[in-house]
Amino acid sequence: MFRRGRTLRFPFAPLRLCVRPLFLCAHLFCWSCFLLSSFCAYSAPAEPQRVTLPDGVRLVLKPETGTDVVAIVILVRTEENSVLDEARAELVAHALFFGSKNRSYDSVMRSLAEVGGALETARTPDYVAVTCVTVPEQLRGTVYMLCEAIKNADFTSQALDRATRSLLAERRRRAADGYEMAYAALREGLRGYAEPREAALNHVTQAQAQDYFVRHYVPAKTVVAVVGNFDAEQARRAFDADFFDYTRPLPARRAPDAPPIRPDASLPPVTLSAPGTAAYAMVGTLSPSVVSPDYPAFVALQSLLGGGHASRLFRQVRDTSGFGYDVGTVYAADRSDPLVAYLQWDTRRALTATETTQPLKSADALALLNAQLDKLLAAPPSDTELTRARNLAIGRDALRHERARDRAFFLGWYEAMGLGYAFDADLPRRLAAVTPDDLQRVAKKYLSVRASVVAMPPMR
Amino acid sequence: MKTTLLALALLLCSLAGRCAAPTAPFTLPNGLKVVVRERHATVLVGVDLWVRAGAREEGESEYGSAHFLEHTLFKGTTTRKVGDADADIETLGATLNAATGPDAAHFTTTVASSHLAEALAILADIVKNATLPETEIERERGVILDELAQHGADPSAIIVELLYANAFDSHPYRRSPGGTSAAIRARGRDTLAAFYRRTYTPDHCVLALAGDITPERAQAEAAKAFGNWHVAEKNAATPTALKALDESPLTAPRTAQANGETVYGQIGIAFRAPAASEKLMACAAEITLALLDSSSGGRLADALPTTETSVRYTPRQDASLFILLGTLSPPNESATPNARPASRLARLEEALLKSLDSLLTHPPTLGELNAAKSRVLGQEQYTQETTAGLARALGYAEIVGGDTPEAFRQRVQQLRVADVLQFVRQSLDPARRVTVKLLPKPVSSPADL
Repeated sequence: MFRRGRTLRFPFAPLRLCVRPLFLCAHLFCWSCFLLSSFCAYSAPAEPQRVTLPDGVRLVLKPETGTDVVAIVILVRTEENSVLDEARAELVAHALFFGSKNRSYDSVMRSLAEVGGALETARTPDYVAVTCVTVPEQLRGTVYMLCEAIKNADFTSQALDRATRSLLAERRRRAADGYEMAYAALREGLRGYAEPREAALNHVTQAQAQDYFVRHYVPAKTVVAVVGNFDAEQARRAFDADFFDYTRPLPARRAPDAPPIRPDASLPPVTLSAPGTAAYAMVGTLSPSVVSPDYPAFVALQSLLGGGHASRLFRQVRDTSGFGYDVGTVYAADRSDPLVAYLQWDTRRALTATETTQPLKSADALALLNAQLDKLLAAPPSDTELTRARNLAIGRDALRHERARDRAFFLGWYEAMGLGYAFDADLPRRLAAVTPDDLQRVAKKYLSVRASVVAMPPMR
Repeated sequence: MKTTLLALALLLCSLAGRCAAPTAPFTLPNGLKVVVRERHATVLVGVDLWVRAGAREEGESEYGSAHFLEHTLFKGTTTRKVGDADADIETLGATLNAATGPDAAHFTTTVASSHLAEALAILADIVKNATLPETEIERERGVILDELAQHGADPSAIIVELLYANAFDSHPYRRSPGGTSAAIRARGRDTLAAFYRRTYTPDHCVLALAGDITPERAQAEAAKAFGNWHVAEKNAATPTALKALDESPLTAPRTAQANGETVYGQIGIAFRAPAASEKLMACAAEITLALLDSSSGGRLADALPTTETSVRYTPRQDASLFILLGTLSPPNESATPNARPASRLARLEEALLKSLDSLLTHPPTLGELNAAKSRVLGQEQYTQETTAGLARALGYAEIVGGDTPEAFRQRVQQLRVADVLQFVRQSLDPARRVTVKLLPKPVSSPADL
């Protein structure tokens, strides 16, 4: 299918607490509240329950009647301060289900096939998330399988080798995509550290992987969220039984060996060689963490700048200038990613006699993006613009809760990050409360330090 | 296996119980068909308007019009200027998007049920009252060229396009639904307007609504938004949608080779596959896909564990293609002359065909079949868990004449090994295959920045 507008490449992240302003425009407030009430009726009847197991694992349980499946998300908080740990962290996350002390790789794969559904592991600088969707009757077996991996994953040389090959295959796939390539480079620049290279991955020993695992995968840092068609008490008993020997202590905090060095001034543009004929220009900025009080306003900013087809970037760059099929913003706060404004165009457009527009050079593309970021710094948005941006953010939050696995993820993520699971239900209200001044304040705080990357294909 | 059977049965039961009982589609007096599924787990409604205005409807001189028109409809109506429709719908908390495929174009949004009337009014305005301004057509031309460039950077997409181009001689499926750069450059307002008048008529459309909506409300809202949509001029010719388009069967293998955006080389092997209306065989094709596909643990994962492979099949209004794709991995350090891409692709082709043949020489066991069924149903559950996914499935089935989601699940449950073998024998005959090999292309100097 050929689409009018590109679907989102990354999920948007939800918001968090913000300081409620003392004065709100009544019109804005009323319209957003009306919209808010439209979406808030979504909530399933049962409220989530939080249970802390004797070993410290926190369960957030939300039974629902309107779904066929059970989604389980296990989050282990792994605050990465040391760049040296990156390779070990990556391999451990990828090898969690490649065998344990009690079960071979083949045995684990058979279990996976039996419980059916889907199993995914994702790693970010802040956490590792294991997501499994299954049917209610397989809940017991699924709980056992997941708990066994979190407690007893065994990092044999075969497991590490398998994980390395999987990681490298994923990187090769990304390297063949201009967008992914440019995005990765931007993220490295703003985070202050690069993904571990192949040599670093190959040098991780079994002992190092095991040491990393026992230090970070501890009950006090583990949150389990379960959403769907299940009995809460049965789930609690299952996790209690299967986590009873998950007794690793919280390690003493230690100063990071090599903390990342984040930029405090804009970085010079980077140019990469990309395949094909599609070029990508990206400008990235620093961004708040989900736990920052700036978070709700920043999500509204992202919606204003590049969310939807009535955003500033879409209207000014694509609709008005006629450039860029793929233009917008991405802000994956659940990955601790920067805000990224991007533009894609066909470099061959300069090469035909029938073109009426001037060729777009990479500097021009970056200028188009930077102009919109500068505009946010210069003046607050109008009421109409902000209403659209906030309402769209509220609507997108509702859409992100359609799947049981996503509902489980957000409950678990907020709990793991220290916000509390209840923030999930409160989020739309906080979005509705963002004012024009809030938005400009966060623009001034975060949008000044920028990184730029252009991925250009070779000339034909 | 028992556990798999149990899981499969329970999944089927739970899927069936999730929505209210399906209601029959109804048709407005102007010919617009409406399909509805109630599901009140959230307050959202997925809206998906399908229009028989895909590439299949294009005449020879109209190639690219379907896609171009889909873009241009958003560029102003008799009551809204450029950007107004998007601003209006996003203020409701929703977005509007559209896509063009071989059989149809479709327009989608997901909105809170309390705003459904407003959302339908905006959607109706776009499809009924588009003005197709000349200046906006020129601006959008460049945007579409950018889109094609992005598409062209995906070697798998290029291989699939080449397979269709070589598998069909006269059918419109031989052409990419997005158009080519040359076609997009050549299309003018007159051609787009003629295509619009001919294809964007209520009797060419299916409106799918899924989520927090009752059939009664659906009827009322559809009538309110679209009821006054009448065709100003009648096209005397029978709509292409209702005609079966002739295409001679393949009688011998066909091969093609091209250079493209691939690092080591890629291959595609295709076979003519059942149309959506051949419901049993279309279902057998989907199960065969799951039996083979490496990403779902199928036979290709064991046969070619270090090679990236995938299998694709989408039932269409007419016979489409069942496709196997393979990507060469980096050659070994001790590579010999036989490790050239062409030789390696030949060996990969052999291995892929051997995997297909294994379905006949070692037919799937009951356990294997049930595992494949679980994977297919699991994928269905995933895509239809959202109101947008459910609306899409409903609308697409209606447009191409396939099974409804409920009927498909039932058919999966009843499918036998014999049905799979019938499909393999009937469709996956190596003597009637089409093969495309994509070799790396040489790169010249880096772009002048």
